[in-house]
Amino acid sequence: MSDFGRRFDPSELQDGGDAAADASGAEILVARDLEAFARSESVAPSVEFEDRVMAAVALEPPPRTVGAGGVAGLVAAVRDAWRLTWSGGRPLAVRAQALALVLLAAVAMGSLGAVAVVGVGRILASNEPPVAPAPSLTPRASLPPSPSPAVSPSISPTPSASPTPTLDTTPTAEPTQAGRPPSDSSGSGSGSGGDSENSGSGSSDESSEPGSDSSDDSSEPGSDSGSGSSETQRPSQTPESDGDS
Amino acid sequence: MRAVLDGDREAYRRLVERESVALVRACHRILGDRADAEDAAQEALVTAYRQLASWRGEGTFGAWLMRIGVRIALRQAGKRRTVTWRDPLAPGAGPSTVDPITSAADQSAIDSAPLADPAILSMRAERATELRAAVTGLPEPYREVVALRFFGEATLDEIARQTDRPIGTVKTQLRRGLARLRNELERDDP
Repeated sequence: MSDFGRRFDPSELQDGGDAAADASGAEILVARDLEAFARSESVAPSVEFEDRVMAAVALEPPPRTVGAGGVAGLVAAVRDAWRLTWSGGRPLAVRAQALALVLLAAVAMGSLGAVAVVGVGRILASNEPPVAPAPSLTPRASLPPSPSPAVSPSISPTPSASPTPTLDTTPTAEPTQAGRPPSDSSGSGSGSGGDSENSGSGSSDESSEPGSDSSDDSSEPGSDSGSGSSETQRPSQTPESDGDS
Repeated sequence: MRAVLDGDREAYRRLVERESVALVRACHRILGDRADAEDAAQEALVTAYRQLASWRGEGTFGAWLMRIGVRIALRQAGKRRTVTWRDPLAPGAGPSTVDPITSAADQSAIDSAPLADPAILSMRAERATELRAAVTGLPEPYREVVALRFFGEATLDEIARQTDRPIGTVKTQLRRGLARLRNELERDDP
């Protein structure tokens, strides 16, 4: 570039291969054509060109060494780009590049701020671990109970159908019915109380079954709870009253 | 360069004086208009001043500046729409059978013709327009390499250094660019 009018050398098209030399015949003609064209287009700049350039350079901030200012240099570069973006009289491409730099800086600042906010939020969240999990667990615990009541009613009917053990008590009541014929002959009103008591005093009845069948008739009206011990005494009393009368 | 980085604007004026001639000339070869060429050269000089701190110092300042200017000029040339009016009834407007070698011979005849001949001047201007449009219509990276070599008059070593490409790659791109250029010129002037 330094010496004007440098002649084109065909060896410039050859990179060591013979095939390139064969194929460069037509390209050399084009190169000569371009060379002749360049020679004919020799235009010198106008007289005031340098002053124009220096006037434009005077509007520019002095060039800075990259990285010398650190953050300050970056801020200054963004400020210059912002000023360049909105200054008139400059090519659109230059202003677009400056605007791109401004937008890039804005996006970088925004993303940096977002990352900082998220980081601070996570740090704050990590400082309160017991509080945060507790509310999250309680709603989960409150949800399962709602299905469980639906299950429990389905279970409860089956136990209600199983009161077969209560049916087992009726056989125990049958022996009392077997003893009722003598009570029926003695008096009325003993049926209701006797049924309930038979279930509770079944064991005592069994113990008393072998010998005290007749004494049950006398014990039914008064002594419901301690029937076992009183039954042995009453037979002895009745002979006394008989003896007195 | 250190003086410019220290804030000495007069030092940069000396650089402008030294490099502006070649820079404006290269931009003019691409754009074909003096005012446009000076605008592109001015933008290149201001851009170079702004980015002077980022210049790695590989090669000469002129080669670095020339690449900036050529890129700016090529970008501006790509934005423009060159409209060429052709009279279909004019002689020679139809398809011709001129091969590139004949065309090059005609070009050399045009170059050696007296500059005052209006017909020769018109043909030369038309040829310049065709060449300019063909170069600016090349795809990258051929466009930049061809423009730097023939419009910017840069050596292949300078191009390789400025574009960070091996010298073999630059040679290959130059050869392929010229081949594409030939095809394009043959298509325009069959």
